[in-house]
Amino acid sequence: MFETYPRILIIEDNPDHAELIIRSLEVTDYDISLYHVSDGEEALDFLFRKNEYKTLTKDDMPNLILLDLKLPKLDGFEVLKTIKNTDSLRHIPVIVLTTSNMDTDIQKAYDLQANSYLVKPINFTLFITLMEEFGSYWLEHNVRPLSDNGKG
Amino acid sequence: MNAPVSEITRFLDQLHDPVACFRVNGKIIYTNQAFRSLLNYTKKQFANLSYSKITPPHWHAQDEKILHNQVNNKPYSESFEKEFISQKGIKIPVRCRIESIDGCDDCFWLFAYDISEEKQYIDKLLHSQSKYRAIFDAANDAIFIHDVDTGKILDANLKTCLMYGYTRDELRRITVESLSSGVAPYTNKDALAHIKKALQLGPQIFEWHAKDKKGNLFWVEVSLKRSSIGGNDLLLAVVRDITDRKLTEAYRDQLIAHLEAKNVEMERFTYTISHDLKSPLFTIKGFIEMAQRNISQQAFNLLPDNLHRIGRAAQRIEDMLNELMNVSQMDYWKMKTEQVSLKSVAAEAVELLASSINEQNVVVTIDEGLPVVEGDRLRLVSLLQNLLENAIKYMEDNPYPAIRVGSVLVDGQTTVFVKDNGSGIDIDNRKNIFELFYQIDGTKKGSGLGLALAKHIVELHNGSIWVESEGKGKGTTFYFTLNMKKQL
Repeated sequence: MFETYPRILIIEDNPDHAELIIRSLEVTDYDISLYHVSDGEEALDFLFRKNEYKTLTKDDMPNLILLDLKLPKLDGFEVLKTIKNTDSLRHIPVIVLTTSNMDTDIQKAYDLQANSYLVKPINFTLFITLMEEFGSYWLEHNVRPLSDNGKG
Repeated sequence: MNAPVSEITRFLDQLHDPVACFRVNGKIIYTNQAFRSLLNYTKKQFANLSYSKITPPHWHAQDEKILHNQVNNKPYSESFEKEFISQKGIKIPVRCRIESIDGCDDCFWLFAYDISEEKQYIDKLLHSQSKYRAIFDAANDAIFIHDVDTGKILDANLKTCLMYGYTRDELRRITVESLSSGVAPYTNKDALAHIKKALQLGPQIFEWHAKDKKGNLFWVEVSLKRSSIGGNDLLLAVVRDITDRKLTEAYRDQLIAHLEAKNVEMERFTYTISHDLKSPLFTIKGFIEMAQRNISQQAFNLLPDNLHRIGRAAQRIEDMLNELMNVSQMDYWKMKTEQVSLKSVAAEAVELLASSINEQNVVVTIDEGLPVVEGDRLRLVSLLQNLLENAIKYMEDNPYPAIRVGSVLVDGQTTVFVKDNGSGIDIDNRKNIFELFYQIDGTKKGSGLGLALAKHIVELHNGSIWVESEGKGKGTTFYFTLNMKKQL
């Protein structure tokens, strides 16, 4: 039923956390492409196909973004704001995935039009479950827009 | 002549008020019954007395003057007061009048009126007035007496003079306006409003910003009340200096603000413990799970990577806990102040950081002119170490990293600086960087405690610390001052 297969951009500065997210998504049986960038600037380079990501094609554009908030260079809120202010990116669901459960962070993320907000549980089994349910919801049940590749 | 004279004397003897007849030379010609009993002499005794004998010496001059004017000018005198002395030596105050006698040039009548009771009453009154005055002036509050209609100052006590620096006479000539800050709500208009309220609604108590003669402002509490004194309708203002109370209040507010700030820091602290520590814990638990899967899948080659990640995360937790301990212990070491050469302190800090300095080829310069200060040596080493460590940490982009430790005069105060040519910081981050666990760049090593610790040490030395940077990529300079005692 999907126009294209799922491609997830993981924006996460902690390499260990990134590795854990990737591995737990890989053990689910979804046919997905995963991309990982480790700071805010790199995330925007990726999305705007700049610098080292110049050669990316439309087929590499993510249709789902997992975003950490505490990021070097450009923090997660800035990245979120840029995505939601850009015509060609605005439709991509952005799921915040962070250790922070501070009210102000949650409020700010939704104010900047985050599509979902997930808190990393300390218990890793719970995290695996979370990632499975995340996949089930966003990759299976959730209907993505037809203009999956964006207008840009 | 005889009969009429005896008739007149009989008549005079019946009078309640004393009457006597004197010659100008002082001889007593006649006294009536009332006069004799006033002075307690018999008729016979009076025959041998003279005016001067029955009058205290200090009245003589006055009486002679009145008599002189009397004899020369008018048939009778104005009433005047004087005293007589009784047989028992008691002074008796009288109000009297003298009158010439027709056909007898050197004789005159004296009509007296005993004013002993009146005098006693006045004395009592004067005494009570002076008592009132004494209480008025002994009061520890300033007391103003105002005219109800005009608000004019009629009187003020001694304390008022001390409090406001004006004399009583000056106070009577000025208005409330001169005694107020004049800034709303402490203007003359406000004062009149209070007065009106006191007259219409009853006693008023309010705070007031007062001004003394020199123009110094101070806080008072005014109690305003309509009062009747000696039958006069007056307005009484009792004014208390509440400078001390205001100072205490200000101190209290400051203390509360300080505690609230501490509380915010504490909240941040607990938040950090539950969240920043969560991140490495997440890593550890995750990779233990991964390792268990690898083992069950016999994929042993993946184990070293998993264990390496677990070890690194555990190390991060250990680092954070160690530094947390440093911060909490900071307050428990007693401050030990001595003369400390900041030059040797900086050198010691550099030595402690030798390995990372060498690793990154950082050139550290310590100025010769660094001052000798009063301070806690160990803490000052830790301060310099934290500032240097921070500089080294944010240096990596520069191929020729350099740090300079020196001192300058800022507003006349010796100020130490640690200047680097590293990545610099944004204006937005300048204040935050001294907060516990704040890190501009989450990828950097360290716990985010270093600068909070530095700030803490500077504050223990009554100094201040701040940071300046022209922006990202333009280097950073930390400044701090120490104020244990006057710097040498």
